[in-house]
Parts: sequence; structure tokens; C-alpha cells
Amino acid sequence: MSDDELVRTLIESFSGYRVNPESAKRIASENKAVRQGLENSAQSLADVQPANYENVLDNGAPK
Amino acid sequence: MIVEKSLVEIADAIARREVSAREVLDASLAQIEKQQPRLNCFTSIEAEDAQKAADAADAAQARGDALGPLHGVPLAHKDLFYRAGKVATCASEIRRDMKVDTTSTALARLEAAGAITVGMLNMAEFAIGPTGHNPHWGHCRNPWDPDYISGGSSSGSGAAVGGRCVFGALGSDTGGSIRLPANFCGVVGLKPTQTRVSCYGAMPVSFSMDCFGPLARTPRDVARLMTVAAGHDPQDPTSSRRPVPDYEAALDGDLKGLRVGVPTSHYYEPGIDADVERVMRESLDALVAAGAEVVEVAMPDHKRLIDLGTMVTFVEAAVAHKQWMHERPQDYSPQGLARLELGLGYPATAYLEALQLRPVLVQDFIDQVFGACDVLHTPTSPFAPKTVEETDVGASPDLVAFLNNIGRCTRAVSYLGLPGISVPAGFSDTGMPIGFQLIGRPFDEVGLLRTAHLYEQSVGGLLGNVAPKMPRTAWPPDE
Repeated sequence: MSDDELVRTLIESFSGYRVNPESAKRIASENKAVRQGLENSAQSLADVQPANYENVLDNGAPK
Repeated sequence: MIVEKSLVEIADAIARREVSAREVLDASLAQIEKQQPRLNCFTSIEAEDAQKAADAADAAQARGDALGPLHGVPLAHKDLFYRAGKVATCASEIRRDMKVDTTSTALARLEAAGAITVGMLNMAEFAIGPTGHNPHWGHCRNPWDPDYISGGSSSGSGAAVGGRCVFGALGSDTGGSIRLPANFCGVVGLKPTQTRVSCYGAMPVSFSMDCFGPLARTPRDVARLMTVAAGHDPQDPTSSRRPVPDYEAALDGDLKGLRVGVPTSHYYEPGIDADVERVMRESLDALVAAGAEVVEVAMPDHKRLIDLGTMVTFVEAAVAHKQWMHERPQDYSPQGLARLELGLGYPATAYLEALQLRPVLVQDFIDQVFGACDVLHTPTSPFAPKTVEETDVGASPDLVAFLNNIGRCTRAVSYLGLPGISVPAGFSDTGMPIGFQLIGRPFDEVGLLRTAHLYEQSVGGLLGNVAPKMPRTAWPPDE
């Protein structure tokens, strides 16, 4: 199964949304580029607190 | 001429009774009548309601009532801010007639301070699009030359302020949607820190990354609007509880010792216009002449930041639009639907990874960048305004590459949630505006506004103080 077909099958299975072949090609291409970029810069998230974003903003403000 | 005044000048003139709210509104409406056929920057013009509000404002002043800091000032806002009982079209087909039952907190605060809403402004369909193209409501056009794009997605906010129709406007920014139209239309646009302005009462693109903020002609105008609009809102529990400074009172000072960072990668990579590079150099020279120090700053991996932000934006947008995508796909523009569909293709684990990495990468950015400088200076867009025709990529195979380029300087800031301001600084060879962007620490809107204000003082005024030549070309062309 090609990447396009895989994307189309997964989206239609999980969401019921009908994706045309041209869209599937675009989604597969764009998502692959993003995923590859993230894999290249992978880091462990085991110790990251998910709710910490607002605190980081607050603590980063000018003193 | 009334419409040539800045927001603060006109508000202060009304307060001093040098001009009435009704006189200001009538001048604004006359300008709208001239500009709307040329720029298509409004989705609705509410002249009668605005006239009643202006008369009431004058009556209140005559009675000696306490006046707010925006008393009698005509504003208009991107048509995704809700007003109870009225339609918020989001410049879409789907919401063309859909009334809402809530009111945006940010908009309500401006009106409570005395502002008069004269209408709602054109935008990219559902705020998904950086150019100002809109097949449902017509393309919004640039006040400096209507053959050129206004930028988006807050296209009408940039065009109406740049075209002197109103003195300020609210926009929203999820990846550059305040800063890009401000840049292309020659006005000042501030994307505040994430959570600084309440997001209650507006159509979301991405609930994690949406930011609301003002566009106006000068940093002082933006400061006044921010002082009114910002602050915690119980109806938006994510809004910050930090006290809101008086941004306008904090503008004065000097630039001596300010470290202005210039990025050593990403922002100046191939694809940037020679005109933009020239204006960046000139603006840095002006900042140095005013006392600032320029320092080179190494950048974190921006491609990663942009990819993560894109994923968060479009997954959340696809969720918000899921029902309409199922039931009314034919009512979206091809480009709007193509971009929303991207959000359906990311695994849940990747989306959560992007959210979980956000605090880590913000902290890294703060340590690396703001350890070396006080504000970061970059282009807002890698290119000067292009024509409506040459940027009409629709859903073609060129779409992704075009979007990646136009948002190259703005999207990482949105993922990080940092404040960014676009400041007019010069012109291209074709006579179109070019601005620079200042990026700051979280909640350092004061630093950005003060730097922009002192830059304005040092160069003797921004493009926002210069009226676009009207009409440079006739629009529509067959008139």
C-alpha cells in the first residue's frame, strides 16, 4: 500500500471523512516531511510536565 | 484632515472637545465609502448604529460623564470576533448568516472604553490563509496599491487601518495573521504573548496558539489599545492573571544599552528579497544611531519549531471544523479545505509530542536567544508585497512551498507563544511597504512597544504616519 493510500485509509477509517486522491497525496507528503523533521530531532519527553507551558512563559518574563 | 490623525491624536482631540465623536465618525464613514470599492476591506458597514453610538458619546461628554481612553474613536474588527445577536461571518460561506449569542471580551473591553465599532472586516476564510485572498467575500486589497495583496489572515484589519478607514482594529494571529497584514499594509501590528488577551468570544483556528491583538498606525496607538484589551478574563481560564501595565505610559525612555539581536540563521536564508534585506539594514542602523547595540545571535532549529506549530494548528483546526468538513465540504474554498485536511493526517502521539515539547523549546529559546539580546530583530516577511495575481496559488502543488516561505519569519514565534510586533520601516522598489519584526521575552510587550516607539521617534515617523497615495491605480480596473 502506498503512503497516499495508507493516509486515505486511516483518515476514512478513524474519522469517516472522505479524502480524494489528490488530497491524500498532499497530506501524505506534508506529514512525512514534518515527521522526518521531528524524528531527526527526537528527545525524551519522559520528565517533561505537560502543564508547564504557562509557568515557563511566566518565569521567562522580564524581571 | 481627521482620518490622517493617529488613534491617540484623535482620542485626545475628542477628549479636549476640539472635534466631536460624530464629526470623527462622519469622516471615517466618508473614507470607508471611498476605500471599500477599492480595497474590499469590510464584510459589513454599520453606519446607522455607529452614528447613534457617536451621538450618544457626544451627549455623554456634554453631560460631563467620565470618558474612557477610546471615547468616540471609530474602530472595526476582524469578522471572527463575536457580538451577541449579530452575524460573525469569518468571511466564510458556511457562517455567512450565522448569528452568535456571545460577545468577544477583547472587543467588549474596547467598546467599554468608548470605542465605536463601525463594522466588521474582511479576512481569509476562517483565518486560514496569509495573503488576503477570499473567493467567498472577494479578495481584500492593499491600500498602497490594490493590485497587491493585503496579507492575511487579518487582511481587512491591515487594509482598513492602512487605508485610513478606521483608527485601529483587532486581529488574530495563529502563525503571523496580525504581523503579515501589518507588514504589507504599512501599519503596526502586535501579536501579544500567548494568554495576554482573552480569546473568549471568537471563532478559533487553534485553541493552543490563537492570539488576539491590535493593529494601528503607531506604537503609541497599539499601546493604548493593548492597555484596554489585555488582562485576565474569567470566561477564558487560560488568560494570564499577570497585572496589565500601562503600556502607553511605559513608552518613553531611550535605547541606550539595548541589545538588539540579529539572527545568524533561518531569517536571512535564500528566498529573501534584496529590498527586505536593505530595509532591515537601514532599520538596524537607525536603532544603533539611537543608542542600541546590535549583537549576532545563534538561532535554535526553526524548521522544527515551524513543523511543530503547523501540526498543532491544523490538528486543532481540523477538530473545530470537523462537522462542517463532513457536511459542507463544497462550501470551503479549495485552499481552506486543503489546509484543514492536513490536520486529519497526524497521529495523536505526534500532536501530543508537539504540545509536550512546547515548554521545553520555549525555555531553550529564552535561554539561548534572550541570554544574548533583549529583543530580536528580523524581517516580518521574506518578501515585499506581491500582486494578488501572482500569489493566487489556490490548492495547487505550489501551495505548501508558498506558505512555508511567507510564514517563515512569523510561525516559530506563534508556536513558542512569544510576543512579536511588526513595525513599518521602508519601501520596496515598487513602492510597497516593508516592516521589521521585533520578538521579545514572554510578556515583554512593554519592551517591544518602547523599542518600536523610540525607533519611530528616531526616524521622524513611521510609514503609518504617511498616507498611501490614493489612488495609485484605479480599482476596479474597468472603472
